[in-house]
Amino acid sequence: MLKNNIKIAWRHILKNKFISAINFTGLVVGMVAVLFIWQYVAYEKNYDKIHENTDDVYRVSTDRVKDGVAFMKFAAGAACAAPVIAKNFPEVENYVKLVKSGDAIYKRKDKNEVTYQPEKVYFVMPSLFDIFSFPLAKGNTATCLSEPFSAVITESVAKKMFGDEDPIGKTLNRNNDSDYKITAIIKDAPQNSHIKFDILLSYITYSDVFNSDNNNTETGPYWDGFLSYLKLKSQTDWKDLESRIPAVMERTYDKETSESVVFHLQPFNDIHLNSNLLFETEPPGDGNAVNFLFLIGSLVLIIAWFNYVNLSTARSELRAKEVGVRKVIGSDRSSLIRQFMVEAALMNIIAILTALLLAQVLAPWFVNLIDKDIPMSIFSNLGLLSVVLAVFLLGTLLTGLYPAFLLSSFKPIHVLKGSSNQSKKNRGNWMRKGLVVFQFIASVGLIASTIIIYTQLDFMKDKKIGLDIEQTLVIKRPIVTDSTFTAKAKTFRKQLEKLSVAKNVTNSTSVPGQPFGMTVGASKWGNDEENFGFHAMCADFNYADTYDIELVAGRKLSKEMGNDQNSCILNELAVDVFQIETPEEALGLEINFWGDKLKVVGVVKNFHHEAPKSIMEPMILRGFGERFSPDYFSVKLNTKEIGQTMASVESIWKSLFSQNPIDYFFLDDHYDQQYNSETLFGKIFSLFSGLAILVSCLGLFALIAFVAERKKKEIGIRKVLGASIPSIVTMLSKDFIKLIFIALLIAIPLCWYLMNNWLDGFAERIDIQWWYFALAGLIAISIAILTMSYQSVKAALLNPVESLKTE
Amino acid sequence: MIKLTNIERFHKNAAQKNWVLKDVSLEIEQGEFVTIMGPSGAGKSTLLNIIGMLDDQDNGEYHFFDEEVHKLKERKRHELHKHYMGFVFQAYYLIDELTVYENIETPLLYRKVPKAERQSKIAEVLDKFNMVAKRDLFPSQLSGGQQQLVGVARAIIANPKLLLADEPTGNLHSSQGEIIMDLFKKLHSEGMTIIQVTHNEKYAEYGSRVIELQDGFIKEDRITRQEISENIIS
Repeated sequence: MLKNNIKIAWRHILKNKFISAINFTGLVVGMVAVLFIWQYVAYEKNYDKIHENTDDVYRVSTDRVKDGVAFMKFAAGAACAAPVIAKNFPEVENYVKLVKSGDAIYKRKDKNEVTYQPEKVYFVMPSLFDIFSFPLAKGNTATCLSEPFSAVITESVAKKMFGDEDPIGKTLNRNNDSDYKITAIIKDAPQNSHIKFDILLSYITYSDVFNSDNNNTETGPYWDGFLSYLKLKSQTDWKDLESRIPAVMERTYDKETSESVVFHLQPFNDIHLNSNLLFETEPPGDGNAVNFLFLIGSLVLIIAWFNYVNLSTARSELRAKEVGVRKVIGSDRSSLIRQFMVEAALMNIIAILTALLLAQVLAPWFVNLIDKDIPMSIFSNLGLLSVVLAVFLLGTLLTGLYPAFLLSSFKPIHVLKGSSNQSKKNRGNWMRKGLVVFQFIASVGLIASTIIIYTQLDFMKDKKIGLDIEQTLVIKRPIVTDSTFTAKAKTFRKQLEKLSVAKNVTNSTSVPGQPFGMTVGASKWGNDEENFGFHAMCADFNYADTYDIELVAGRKLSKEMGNDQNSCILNELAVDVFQIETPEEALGLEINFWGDKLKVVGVVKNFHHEAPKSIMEPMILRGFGERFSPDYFSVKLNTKEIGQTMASVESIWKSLFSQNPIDYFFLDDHYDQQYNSETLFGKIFSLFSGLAILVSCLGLFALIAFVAERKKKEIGIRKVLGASIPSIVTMLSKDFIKLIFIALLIAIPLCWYLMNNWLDGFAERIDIQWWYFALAGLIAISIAILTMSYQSVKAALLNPVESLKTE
Repeated sequence: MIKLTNIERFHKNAAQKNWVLKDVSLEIEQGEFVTIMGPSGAGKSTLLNIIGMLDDQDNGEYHFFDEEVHKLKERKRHELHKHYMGFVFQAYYLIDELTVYENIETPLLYRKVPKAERQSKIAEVLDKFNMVAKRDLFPSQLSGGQQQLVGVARAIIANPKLLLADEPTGNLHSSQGEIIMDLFKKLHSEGMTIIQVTHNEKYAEYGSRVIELQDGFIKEDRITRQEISENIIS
């Protein structure tokens, strides 16, 4: 019987080529969408899963609080966090601290010419390997980081620097100033891991050698930049523990410290998608975006499933005769249900096999699109296989059950009565209308969402950021420097100024699109009690001019004023923080900046140092003091002739910093990179919206074909009676147009709510305008009418003689 | 075999009852070949469908052998129908997606007949109906008469006790119609009980008894001339 069912199902698929093709296309598109999106979602959700037993691991984040308001939140927080918590809470089994080592060039001691500039280097405690399970390739994780000046490298670094040689026991030289012995090799961490590194150096080097003069590496509450992970005893109530930390801080330090430095625990597994703090180790994922994409990927498939249900039930009249005959010749309902289920299963299985194949073919393209190195190896992944199975089973049930029950319910007496009108009773009509409405809710919602997302992206990109970042070349400082750097930097700057293409040149410790780099607790001079938090950077007198920052009061830092290293500029927000009424009143204020007495000489308008997706912060821009040196040289160019310019810049660089490769970027591109994740989200979102809409339209196209087919006779009669073609087109389409309007009414509030949520994630956001929905509705209706018009015009043009001929 | 007592069937409209069958009582013995005649709308098909258990009467009793059909549940009626009856339709109603062979096979599949037995039965019937060469054709590739032959073959393949035919020749040319009627006669002579609905006086004479319906009543219930002459001969 099963064989028989499959045979009949197959013949039905072949016979109804039009419907089958539409069902098949829709299902394949939906399934490919789901295979891609779900893999991406799985990738994001399985972040950090290489580590076993991370359920009891927490990261300590540090909030800097003023008057009960956290004004800065650090992922890599205070130096004292982990030691103090571990010491006072027996629930803490173990902890590890990591602190980032600055950019440096590493050389092989035995082969000086082999150099490498790693991206991520940490000083790290040996307990890293007790808490996390980074797989070891060679060496001993228990001892590899216990001695000062030990280094652990990853396999890829080993390959790069040592080729086939055994690196263990060899020595690496860092920036010509310190030597590290390689004690172990670790396998590279997978892409989806938020702790990634190239080289690990023993923490004891950092704490006991480099900072031997102060004990602050373990006790400093105001020294940030330390990643701290705690392993708690299992079953520990971490929220409770977190709430008891302030008391410990007060006991260890004092009330003021416990109120201004507040620690939070973040469950390790939540970090990637739910944490977006200062000094994150990797760009954080966006849990919201991941959920959105999951939803929309699934929507495409659901719409395709609905197409199947719609078309099957719409066709019910055509199948009714068969059902009736089968019942008369002895079939009971259950075997009919089985037969229709087999049909659904067959269609689903063909579709999913095609989808798997297509997904394999398109995988490189998708990986390229999302710009993430996701392993898209479908057949090696058991999880994916179960997804495929789930899609198949769920699809078969969803697409098969309703039509099966509906069709098998027909009474033979009704459907076999020859010309009787009873068989024309349109069963499943309400269901079908409901599903069409759903599809259009999805389509309209997706179109509107796409419009909103792109408007928001454009808004952010076009937003006046208060800075001029066009035609700006930024050169990073050399990595390997010595005591001559300050002098060389001045020379470099002077020579850059001499270039004919250079309109303006400035040095600074940060440039737009980069973090400020410094956070400072500053106070009014002589009033150390009242300490405020600011972002800060150093820049020379030319910074405000080069970047065209608008002055509100006072003056910019200036060469003519001579020694401006003790002057500073505030932005308007900083003036507010100091609780000063007007910018003018702030002029002349003396502030304590890490012990330096700085005089406020000017106030500038707030500007977006970082992209407008994050909020603007109070800022202090100070002149270079003795302890600061420039990290960036910015050159404002008066030409678009890049090649020539770069050649001359490079030759200057070579003459001064020959040991270092030049590293530069153009600021507008660099600044826009901050929108990478949003742009990507927009791209994926619009792509899958397009697919969803395509699949719904396919369904609509087929549905209207059916309506036209069923009303063939009616159309014929109307034409004989003198109906015009437009009136027939209207007659055929008006029911669907009505449904689309109902869908609009439901889609608008739903979409408004969801998109409002999404927009809330941005510091500067657009307001949702009514016309977004009007436009989305217009687009949806136009697409629908276009889809329907083909079929309805075709039907309307039919010669009534043809359609009225009885069979 | 069949005993109908005061069978009534009506459609209720808002205002009134429209009678389809009114107070129909009749008995049919095993081995009879009954023809139901009458003008359009007389209730012929409805009566046939009630006997075939495809339709329910609104009032009255229906005894089929010893079963009180009017008291039976849907499921049990379906069992009776499946076990005892074969149907032939005016429009053949073959399943378009199945070949001749498969169409005839379907009732056996629903009766869970083993494969070997199915094959021999179908071979036998194809042979009997002279359709062996057509076994792998689809209905659309057959003439109307051939399609109806398949319809009859399908109706009798599971050895029903009762063959019901609703205007079996209605869509056929007379030559094709005669082939079908000859076939019916042959089946009847082999012991099959047959009830057919027809408009055709000539085809009515193939049977043993004619029931004339008019406006839902039995107008006349007579033995056919054919039967009379056969009786006289015997």
